[in-house]
Amino acid sequence: MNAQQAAPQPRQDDAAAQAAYAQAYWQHQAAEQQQQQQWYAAGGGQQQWQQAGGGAAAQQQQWPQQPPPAADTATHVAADPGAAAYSAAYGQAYGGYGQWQQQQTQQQYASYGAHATYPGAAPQQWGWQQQAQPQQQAQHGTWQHQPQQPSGYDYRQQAAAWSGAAPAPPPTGAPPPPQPPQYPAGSGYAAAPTHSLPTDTGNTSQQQQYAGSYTSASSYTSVPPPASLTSSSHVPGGGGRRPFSIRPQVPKPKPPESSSPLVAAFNQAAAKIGSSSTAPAYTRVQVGTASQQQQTAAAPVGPQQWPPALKAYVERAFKGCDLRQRPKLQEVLKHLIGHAQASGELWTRDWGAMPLPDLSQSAADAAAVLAEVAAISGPATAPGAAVPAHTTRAWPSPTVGSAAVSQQYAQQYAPQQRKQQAQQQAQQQRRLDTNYGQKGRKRSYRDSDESSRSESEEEHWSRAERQRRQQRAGRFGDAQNDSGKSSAAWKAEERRRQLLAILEEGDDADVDWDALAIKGSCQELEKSYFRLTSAPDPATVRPEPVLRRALERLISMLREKKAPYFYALDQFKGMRQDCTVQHIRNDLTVQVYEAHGRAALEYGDWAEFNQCQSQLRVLYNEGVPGSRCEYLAYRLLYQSVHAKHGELLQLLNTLKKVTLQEAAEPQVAHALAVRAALAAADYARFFRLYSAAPGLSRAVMDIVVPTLRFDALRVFTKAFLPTLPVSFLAALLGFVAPAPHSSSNAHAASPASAGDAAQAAGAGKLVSVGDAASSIQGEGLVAAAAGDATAAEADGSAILPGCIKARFEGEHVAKVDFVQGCQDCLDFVLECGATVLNADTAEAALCDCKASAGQLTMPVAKERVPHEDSLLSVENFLKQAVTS
Amino acid sequence: MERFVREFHDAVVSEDGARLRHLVWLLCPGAQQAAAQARQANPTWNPALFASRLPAGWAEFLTLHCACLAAVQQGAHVEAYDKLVAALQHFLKVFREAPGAWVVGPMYSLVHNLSSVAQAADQELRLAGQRPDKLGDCGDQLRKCFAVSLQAPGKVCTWPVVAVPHGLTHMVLRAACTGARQPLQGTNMVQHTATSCLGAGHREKKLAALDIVNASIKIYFRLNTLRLCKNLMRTVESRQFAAFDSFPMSQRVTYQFYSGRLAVFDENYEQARQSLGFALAHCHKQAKKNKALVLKYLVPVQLVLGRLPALPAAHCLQQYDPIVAAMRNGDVKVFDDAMSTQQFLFIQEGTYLLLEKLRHAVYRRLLRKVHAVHAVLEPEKRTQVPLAQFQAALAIQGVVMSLDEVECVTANLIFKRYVKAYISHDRKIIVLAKKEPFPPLHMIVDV
Repeated sequence: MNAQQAAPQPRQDDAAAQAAYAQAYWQHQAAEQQQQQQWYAAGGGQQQWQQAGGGAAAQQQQWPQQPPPAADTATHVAADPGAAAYSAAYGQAYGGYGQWQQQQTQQQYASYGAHATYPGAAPQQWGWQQQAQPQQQAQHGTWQHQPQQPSGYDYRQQAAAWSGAAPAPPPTGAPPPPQPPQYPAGSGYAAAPTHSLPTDTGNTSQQQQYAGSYTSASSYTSVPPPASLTSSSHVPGGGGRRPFSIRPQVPKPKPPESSSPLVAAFNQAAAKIGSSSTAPAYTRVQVGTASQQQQTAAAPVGPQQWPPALKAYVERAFKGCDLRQRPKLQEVLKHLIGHAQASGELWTRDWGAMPLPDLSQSAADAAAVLAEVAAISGPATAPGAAVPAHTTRAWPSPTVGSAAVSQQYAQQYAPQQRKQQAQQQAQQQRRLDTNYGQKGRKRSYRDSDESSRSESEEEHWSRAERQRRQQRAGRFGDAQNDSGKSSAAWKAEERRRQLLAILEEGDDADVDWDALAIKGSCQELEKSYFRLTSAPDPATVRPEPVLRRALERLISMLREKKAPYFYALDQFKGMRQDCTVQHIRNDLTVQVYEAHGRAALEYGDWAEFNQCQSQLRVLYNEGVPGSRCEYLAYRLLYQSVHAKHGELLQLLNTLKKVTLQEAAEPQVAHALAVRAALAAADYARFFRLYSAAPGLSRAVMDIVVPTLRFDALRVFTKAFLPTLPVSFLAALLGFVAPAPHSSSNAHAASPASAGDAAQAAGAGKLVSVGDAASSIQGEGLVAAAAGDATAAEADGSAILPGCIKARFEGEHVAKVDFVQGCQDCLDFVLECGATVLNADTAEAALCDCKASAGQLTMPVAKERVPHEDSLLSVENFLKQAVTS
Repeated sequence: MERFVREFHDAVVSEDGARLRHLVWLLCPGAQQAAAQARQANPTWNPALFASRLPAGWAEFLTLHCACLAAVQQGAHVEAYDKLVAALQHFLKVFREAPGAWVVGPMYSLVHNLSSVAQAADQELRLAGQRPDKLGDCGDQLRKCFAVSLQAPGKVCTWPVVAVPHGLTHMVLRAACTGARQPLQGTNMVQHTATSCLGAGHREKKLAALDIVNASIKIYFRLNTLRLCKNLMRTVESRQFAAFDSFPMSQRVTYQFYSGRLAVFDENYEQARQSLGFALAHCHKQAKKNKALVLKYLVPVQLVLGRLPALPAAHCLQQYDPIVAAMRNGDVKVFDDAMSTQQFLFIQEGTYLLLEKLRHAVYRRLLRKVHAVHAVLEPEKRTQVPLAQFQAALAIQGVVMSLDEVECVTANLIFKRYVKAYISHDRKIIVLAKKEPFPPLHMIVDV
């Protein structure tokens, strides 16, 4: 959407553009207009301030304008800028921080930052401060005159301070006269600062009013405040300028990397916890030292911000932790957050759903476990889609002042009421939404419903529902994302959001699934197949041009006999998968499937071949060009050889679809002739066609050869008496290549019949009817194939893509040597259990038909050694087992 | 429109199944006219206004049905189909709850409406370049209808109330086939007549089932998903199903026609002959087209079983003439030519693979002729026919074969028991049995 198109590349010198950008970004979220006005006021003001602060600091501008992590609905989240830009900006801001820091001449700021770490507690602090030292007034006074005083106050800066990250210039109790911020011309928000700032002052006074009742810190807990407070309590009047710091009661272990921002954050969190568990546990510290300490702790912390959910998580962890284990916990959390940061999941990870670290393990282990958990559950929280309610943003508004909020907060701020409070707060948020009436159809009906109970239930339900949807969407979460490819993660997120948005609309019919197809970015030519269990990661998927090169490479490797079949299988499957996940259905896909189909056929991998050819059929039907006739021939052959095993109907269907043109193609004509020969049980013709098979047809025909030979033997032993010469069988059943000295005169085809055949072919007849025709055709093909093969082996050009050899010989290739062929035939006959006379000499052997007729058995097929590895052979295994 | 709705209302209230069947029929002139007029008068016409007075269920049905009619008239068949399916759901509810058998009539109409609209919708989708899946969906809908009609409560009537003579023979046949039933007896008859009179209404609703089965099988044939037919036919033949003879003859004929065609695919030729024979014998005598259709499939089956028909020209079955002639004369060349020239036709009709099997019969006929000639030439060696003679006979016809191939063909003939003989490879002769060397075809086919 617009935010993404205007990829956030903040320019230091262009504050106006920044503001315009922010406006454009939010324009569609009219529901939060009022809130945004405040926000803009803050943002605009800060820009000014930053300009005063210096160039490097100006890069911070981006941060306030980052969309808050909790946009309200899933439909908005797609507007989030890409992660790359995000992290880039992050780095800049972080780098710029040092400079900025130097300009903070007032160390008190740091102490203030510590002070204000818990905005929700501000009223209480205020209360305490009411009781406390008079000095503060003086300090207060000095602060008012800070030269770098921001004209508008940024609540987000406050949030950063809360996490201990950034010491924020404190606003004053009596706000300084706001310098009119500069807004771009035509800005609809020009009135914003005047709108928001008085509200703040109003709040302040109200808070002061209430402050008296908050003097007891006993109600203060470490539970994160409701979002409305987190984000809204500017503590503008604060008054708590008294430089004191809340320290944990226990001796705090000095973290070795005290310079790390993380550590600072922990310290802050720990400080709060400590104070909460032993409230009222604040100790007065000398201004100077305390601020010094804070300064050192916070020093390297940039104006980066932590996700509220993460803060809540850290607090949760500290709260549930034994005091003695706190150092260890710190370690664990440091690991964890470091990891999240490294993988760019800091903002996307569902911290609310993270389990607490298991401190019985070593710190590194516990962190690793948690990281894994996070990876499994996926970066669940699309910002705003299902962030737990207490982290959702609820802005202060003129109608619902933060005073009211804080009152409610004070009443309910007890740990056991946390959930209820969250609900109430969500309810309030909704009221805010509906007050501005732009939440759309889905929520508007709740306007009339004022019963808080039913509302809260409803809210609870819808939250649960949202989370459930989130989880459903999240089940496609990719486990491969945690390899630090934040952009990939982000894209997956993006896609998921699109999908969610579409599903929300609920109109299944118009979903353009192709638009949701991923676009790969992997450049590797070699990629192993991995059966996906989740949505594919674009970083591991190859785009079309890369796939083309990969296919070329693999085909040439096969051609040069460098790749064994199992390598090719793996590669082909990877390519097929890449095509599938990217919805590529064009000539490339066809080429991949065709090449794989041929390779599988050559090797005899029927499962893969069938997958390929059924896919190819669909692709061809879609009109994608390819070797349609070749695969039609394979299909016809495959169905013909399995016709007796339930493929007859399919064969009929295939035959119905064969057009005249296709039937005239040599390979299809051959397949049709084979089908006819099989149907007529014409063994002689079948084996002649076998020897003349083009392409890889022989591989398909191989399937049926053993059965066919056995059938033939059965037929012949029944029909012939008294004996049947093995040599005759050998010639008929394709054991011996047709040769002049063979007893048969099979190839005495007259010129006349050859003419017939030509005529038949010319007329486009499907089956070359006469044997003569097919034999002529066959001879021609054989000659052609043989000629091709010899020529082709030399240059490798005639090798079909995916094949290793130019000519596929077939398993049951006839022997040129007559004696050798007869020997093979004799072996076969003996294997079938026939009684053979003169078995010593193969040529003269005679099969005793009468004796054999009843006792023939189908010979057991020889096992193919799996994976061409003799170590995997069953025989080999058994032999070893016996010997050992 | 008013009139049509009133008529519809009357038919529903008086439970007049036949009239309702006509009114619900897609091409019912009254309904068509009414819908057209109403649409002309007011393009945004809402049939719901008229349907308010009807009993529960029928009102919704009529609304959707009229919407379907309007869509059909506008040529929006896909929309019409969707409306029809929606209407069907309401009708099925009514059907399930209605006590009488009169709802069977409209069910017939609806089933036929459904399949014809689905076909039209598929045509439309195909033209629009989309995936035509309505016919498949129609199959699913019919399955639903079938389940509803099958589950109609009431005692199953095993035997018919009135058994026509042919029905009796058929029942005996079925009894023989299943083996589970006792032969028909008088007492049984009386008993079943009595039970079938009880709760007649619900039982009769089962009679909608066969029509649905027929429509489904027709769709499966069109979709090439014949394996789905098996389950349906098994149900029809089960005891749960109403007695076959209690269905209208037209439906029985249709069913037998399809079951005969399916038996061919299972190579169960005798079964196919019986079923197709039933269909031919009981087809309405005016239904020439249907008879021709039955014959188209019956003739090849009879040929395979060795019965050569005298084909009357009236049935437009000229495509079989050369084949029959070839079988008479043992002319392999004529047979091959006929097969190759008409290959497309036969493949499209689904008879090609069946006719291919006739080649053996043609060879056998030729061998028989050769044998007869040889017997005249050499009376004392009449059983020993040289293979060279057979080869020469083939060559005369124009079929050139090597002696090996001739041996191969002859061996197959012997193995398949077309010929009682053996081959002597050394002497290159075929030695025929002295007694009945060529047994009748119908005796040998079922091997």
